[in-house]
Amino acid sequence: MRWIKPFLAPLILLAVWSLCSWLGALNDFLLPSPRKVCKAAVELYSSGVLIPNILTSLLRVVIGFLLTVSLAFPLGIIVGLNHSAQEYLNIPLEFLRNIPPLAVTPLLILWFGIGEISKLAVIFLSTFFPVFLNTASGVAHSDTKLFEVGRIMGLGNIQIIRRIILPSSLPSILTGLRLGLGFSWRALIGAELLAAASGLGYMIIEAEQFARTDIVIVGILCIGTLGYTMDVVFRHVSILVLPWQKELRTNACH
Amino acid sequence: MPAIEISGITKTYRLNGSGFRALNNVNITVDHGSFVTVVGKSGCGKTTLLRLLCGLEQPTQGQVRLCGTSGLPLEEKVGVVFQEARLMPWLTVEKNMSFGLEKRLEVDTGRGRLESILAMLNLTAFRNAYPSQISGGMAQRAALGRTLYADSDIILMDEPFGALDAFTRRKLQKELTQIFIEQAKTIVFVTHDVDEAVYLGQRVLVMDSGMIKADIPVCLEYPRATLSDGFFTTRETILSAIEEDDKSDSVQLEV
Repeated sequence: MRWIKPFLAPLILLAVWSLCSWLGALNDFLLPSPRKVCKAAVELYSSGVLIPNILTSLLRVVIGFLLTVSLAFPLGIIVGLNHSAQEYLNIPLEFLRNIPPLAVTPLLILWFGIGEISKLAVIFLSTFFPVFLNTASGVAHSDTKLFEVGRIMGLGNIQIIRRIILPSSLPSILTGLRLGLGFSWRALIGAELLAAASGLGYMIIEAEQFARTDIVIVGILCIGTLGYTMDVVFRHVSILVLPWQKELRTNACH
Repeated sequence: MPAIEISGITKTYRLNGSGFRALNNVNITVDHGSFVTVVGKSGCGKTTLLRLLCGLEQPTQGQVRLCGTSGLPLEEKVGVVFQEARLMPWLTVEKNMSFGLEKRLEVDTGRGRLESILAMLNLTAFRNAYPSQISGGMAQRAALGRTLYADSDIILMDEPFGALDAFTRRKLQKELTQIFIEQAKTIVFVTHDVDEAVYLGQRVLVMDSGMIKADIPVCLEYPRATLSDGFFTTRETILSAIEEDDKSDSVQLEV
């Protein structure tokens, strides 16, 4: 029965929601019944609205995330290795880190329009810092005592980076990627709510204009479920890539 | 040709603008296949000496020659066992031991050697364990195994058993003596434990304030009985050599 624990809270919530709707305690417009939400979901699915919007949003996140990582990751390594670079970049980075990407969205829309580029820009802004900062700090804090082992074994600088620095900063790098993925998903939906012609955020804002709260709820449920699924997948990948940490978890006492 | 020749080595560190001399005109010659222990108080320069020998530090003055040559590459000549095991946390025991030498595993003899070292150090059952899963003593054995697998002529050891409990330390000291008898290695072993220095070394160098204060031969057969008269006599000689230096300052020595 242990497997039921994680599902208990959502099930209770669903039950309370159904019960309140059934008793007529809820305004059907402000919070539609679960049945109505299910019907809306089926309708959206069969009319070919739901899946394309989901795929559009997912594709944006995947492309935006990969593009950002391909820049943030190498930069993080360079800055992590270079202590003087950290001193120069500290203030600008801390400044930028504190600006929510949505605050920049008006500018992005002016610069890039409401098309794909402004979406990618929002994803970039939200993903870059967690990936970059965690990579840089992982690299900067890798154990110098292990470098000496490498040097005594005759490894060159590139080999020390590849064989010692990268593996030892992998846990921190993966934390950054995981945070970045979550941030980019949320920021993208936000950007789609502000200005877009497709995607889950657009689906929600369009439903609002037609006063279809049931569709809004379908959209919210999709966003949450997909975000959670991405995180679960990412966690499983992390466990595969970090076997020594998994061992630590499952085999704490020896 | 001696395994190690140190001539006129001086090492000065910059500390808050002023110079601190960690080693002061040190001259040592170590023959091939000999076991030398270096003993002294903390801060006497013994670790600096070892770091110069393995090329992690460069001398301010003087020259280090290993097997007749100076400078890099050193990896063929020197292996180091540090006070901490310094294993890569993301690699298993076996992979830690072959770290940087994976090419050797492609050859049968290389595989075989790894197997025999694992067996000799009682690590075969733990070959696939990660460092976080094994005890400190086992981790230090794996570190020793890594150095043995590298098969360098000279093994430098910097208080390798210092962080272990007394029983494990005793066991590893015995194993190290056995390895020394079986394999023709040159070992330089740094410690602050006089008993350990006498138990292991054929020669004990006493260091103080960056200088070699005494060079005491230990003419006892391996394996050594720690309760024998010879052991006590050598131990007293070393202790009095250290205490001689101690007259200048009143710091009590831990034995």
